[in-house]
Amino acid sequence: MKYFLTHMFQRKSAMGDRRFGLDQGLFILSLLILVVTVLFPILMIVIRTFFKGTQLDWRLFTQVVLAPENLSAIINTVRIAFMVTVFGTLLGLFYAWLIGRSDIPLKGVMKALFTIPYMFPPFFGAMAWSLMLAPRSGYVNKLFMQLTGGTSPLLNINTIGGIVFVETCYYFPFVFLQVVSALERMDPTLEESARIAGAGQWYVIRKITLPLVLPAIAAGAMLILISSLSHFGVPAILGFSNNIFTLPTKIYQLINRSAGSFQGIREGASLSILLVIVVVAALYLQRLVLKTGHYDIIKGKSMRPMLIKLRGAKIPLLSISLVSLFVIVVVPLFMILIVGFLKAYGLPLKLENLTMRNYQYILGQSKMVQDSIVNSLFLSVSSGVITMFLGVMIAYVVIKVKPKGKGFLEILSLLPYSIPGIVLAIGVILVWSGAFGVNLYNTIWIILIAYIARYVSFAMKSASASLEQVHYSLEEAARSCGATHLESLRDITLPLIRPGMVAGFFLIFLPAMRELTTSVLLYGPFTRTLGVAIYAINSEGNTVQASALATVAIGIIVAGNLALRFITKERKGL
Amino acid sequence: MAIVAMKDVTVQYGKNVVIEGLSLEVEKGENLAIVGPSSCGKTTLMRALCGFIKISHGEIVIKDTVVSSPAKRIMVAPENRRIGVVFQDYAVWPHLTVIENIIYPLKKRKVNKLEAKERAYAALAQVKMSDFADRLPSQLSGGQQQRVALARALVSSAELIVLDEPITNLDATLREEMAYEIRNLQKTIGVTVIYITHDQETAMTISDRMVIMDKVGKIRQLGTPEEIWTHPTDRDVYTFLGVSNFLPLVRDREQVRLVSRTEPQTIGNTFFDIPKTFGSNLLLASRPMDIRLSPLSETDVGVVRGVVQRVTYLGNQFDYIVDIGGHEIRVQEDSLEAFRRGVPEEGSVRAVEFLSPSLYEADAQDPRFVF
Repeated sequence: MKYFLTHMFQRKSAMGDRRFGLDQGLFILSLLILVVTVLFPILMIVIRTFFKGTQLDWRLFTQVVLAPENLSAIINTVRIAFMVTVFGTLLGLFYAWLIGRSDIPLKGVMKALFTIPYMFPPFFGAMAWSLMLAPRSGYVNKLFMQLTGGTSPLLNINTIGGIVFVETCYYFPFVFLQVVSALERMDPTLEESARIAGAGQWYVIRKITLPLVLPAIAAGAMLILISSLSHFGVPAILGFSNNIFTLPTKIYQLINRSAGSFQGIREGASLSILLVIVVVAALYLQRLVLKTGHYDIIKGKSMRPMLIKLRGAKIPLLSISLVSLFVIVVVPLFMILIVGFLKAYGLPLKLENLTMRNYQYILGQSKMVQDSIVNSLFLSVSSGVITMFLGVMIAYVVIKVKPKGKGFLEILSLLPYSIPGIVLAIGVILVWSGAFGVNLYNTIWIILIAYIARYVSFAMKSASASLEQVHYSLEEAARSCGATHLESLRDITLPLIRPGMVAGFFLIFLPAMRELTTSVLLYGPFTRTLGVAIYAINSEGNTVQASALATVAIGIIVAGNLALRFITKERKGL
Repeated sequence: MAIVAMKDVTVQYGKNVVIEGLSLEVEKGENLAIVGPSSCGKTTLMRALCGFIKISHGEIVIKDTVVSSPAKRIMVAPENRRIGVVFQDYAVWPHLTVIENIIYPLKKRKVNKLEAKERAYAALAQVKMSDFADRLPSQLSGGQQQRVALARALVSSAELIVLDEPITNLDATLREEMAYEIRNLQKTIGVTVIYITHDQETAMTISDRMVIMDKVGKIRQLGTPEEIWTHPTDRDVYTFLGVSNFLPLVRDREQVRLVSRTEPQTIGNTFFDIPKTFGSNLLLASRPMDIRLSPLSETDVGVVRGVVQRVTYLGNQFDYIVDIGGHEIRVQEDSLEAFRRGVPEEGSVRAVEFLSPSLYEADAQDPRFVF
């Protein structure tokens, strides 16, 4: 009997060893997936740029960088990003202060309006503003020319100024949200004591409030800067017709013009490196700024701040903000909606010119559009599910298993966060079009791989947040109750983080549904995505159909957001 | 019969040795308290026993089965060790109801559903939580979650349960009640309990035997609470157990002299034998309650004299600070006793009598011997 028991336990002990194998397996699997999806593409860009065969070769890089058209693209990129950052920060700051510290009414309505630019891709805005302010055909310009009898338009959206304006409209919420949350968490007694000491209202804002929220402002401004630097959609829609190029659109043009030739891809890769260098420089700048401003006086608990009475300025400020929000948020959406029902672009916006034909065409007849919707749904759902589970696995390894080399894993998973989508796309092309014996070019799988690489950072961050709430003793308690390692994960850990996983899925599903930057380089004849389809129809000049399809996309995105809100509300009850 | 035997167990992370060469046997049916200051490795010991961490050297045996032994390449998984564990933070699963929490171990051990339910409800009754079966843990207080964790551990193993600092998070009255109940359960069920705590008072009231661990993860003393209280092996254990006074003594041939800044005093060595191995510098250890102050009479020769510095009335007892030859000691006296014998005045000289002192060898650099 004793022998039998010992024997049995020894056999079990082999299983015990396999348990350590499970953790190790998860680590190796995570590492493998990240190396293949994230590290390989980046390495390939570097290799293809600087190596010809096995020979180190700087010529291509210097040649590409010093080409005059590329130089102008660099200058445009930096100029646009700089201006968007400045204007976006000022705008975000203004609204944040109004909502966080003044007694302005209708705060709820305004806050709801602010979440809208977050939901939609900026290139929808570019389309909408183009409908209104394209130099000859834009409705607002036409109205202006009718009224003045002249031939010069009121405003031309196809300029650097126009690009800056549209990007600003979509990126200022970054600063707004950061600063509002900092203001809400700031101890209001800091401001009150300054008032008691005799400081005036304006002085308090300048000398107390502003310095305290400076880190939040810096963080938000850097988000704007990086997003604008790597942004593709708006300059593509507004700049191409006027020969205004930024680095991302230049890369797209290079690849597109070369029709996938190796030389074109190599040149695109060189430009990508340049773009990455600019972004990394911006990130470095952010670290410098944030290091100087760290305050502990901003607390986690929320207190009711002293609200500044606007008195006579209340009505004018309220009008300004409502009108500007209306113009920034509501008007573009309305334009897209109404143009989607027009018989032809350019017809006056009258009831008799409206039709359902565009919807019948895109949803009923156009195989390309139907494919694109199916493709995008497939890509969003599958990349959402896969990336979410991948994120959970990586977060589990980093937080719970803590193997040697977890730092490397963490860096790899957060790397895509700072790699522009268009750069990632080039890397994915370099890796998956036969270089390693696998050619996925022009298939949907190459887009899926790119989406996974692009969104793994989101998934990892959201999964880490929920996993950190699960104390290790909960899992160990299950082990000591007789559950195997796998069972303890299945019975305890996964159910506990399930709400976080569902929310994490939507955080990937929603941006993937409207994705343009990555897919525009990767799509093939039958693998257009929704974003690519809208973009393509729009650049072919079928404006009304593009608007109709954009309206469909808006519908899907709104539905997804409502689902997300419903789910996150549910979670509070748990 | 020993239910758990640890032989020469070493646990280390890299170069950091947490436990070194520890050997310990736990008898079947006993309640063994492992006591030590925080971060002394007692939780590491528990985690090694439960199989959550590997040991670097040595062997752990549970019921004649080797469960951990690096030399024999044995590492039985936690789920196969059959130990009920109550974690410091309870670790009651928040997404399961109370009864689901308790049934879980039975489900994992493939007990049939009807029996599992019966046993779970029985365990719930044992910890007096029957009314809360269908609640979620978030609807329970800390003490109630504690009981659920205990019931789950009891269901998980009727032979051996380990409690890691189980009641430190509770308030004083609840703690006392819980300690009593754990004691009671253990007596009625006969389960072996390993109770890990830094609170030596609770350990004394609850355990059959105590293990005192020191900061570096070594066992300093093992014995019944009485043995340990009356004969702490060394000064550290003595200090760990409660408020202690140490008076420096010097052995001078047949005489034992108090190291004194004022008048020289000798102490009669009649009530203890000084071990031959001890050097000449000694420390007399005593507890505040074990010192008696008496009025000084003319006939007293060779008694220790002390000056009462401060008298504090604490309600149920008096607390004195007494200066003996430049050394301050704390003395406590039952209030009734003090009133009967007369409360000493501050500044008065008293005869000091040590009722059951212990004697330890002093360190070479002990500052009490230096003037």
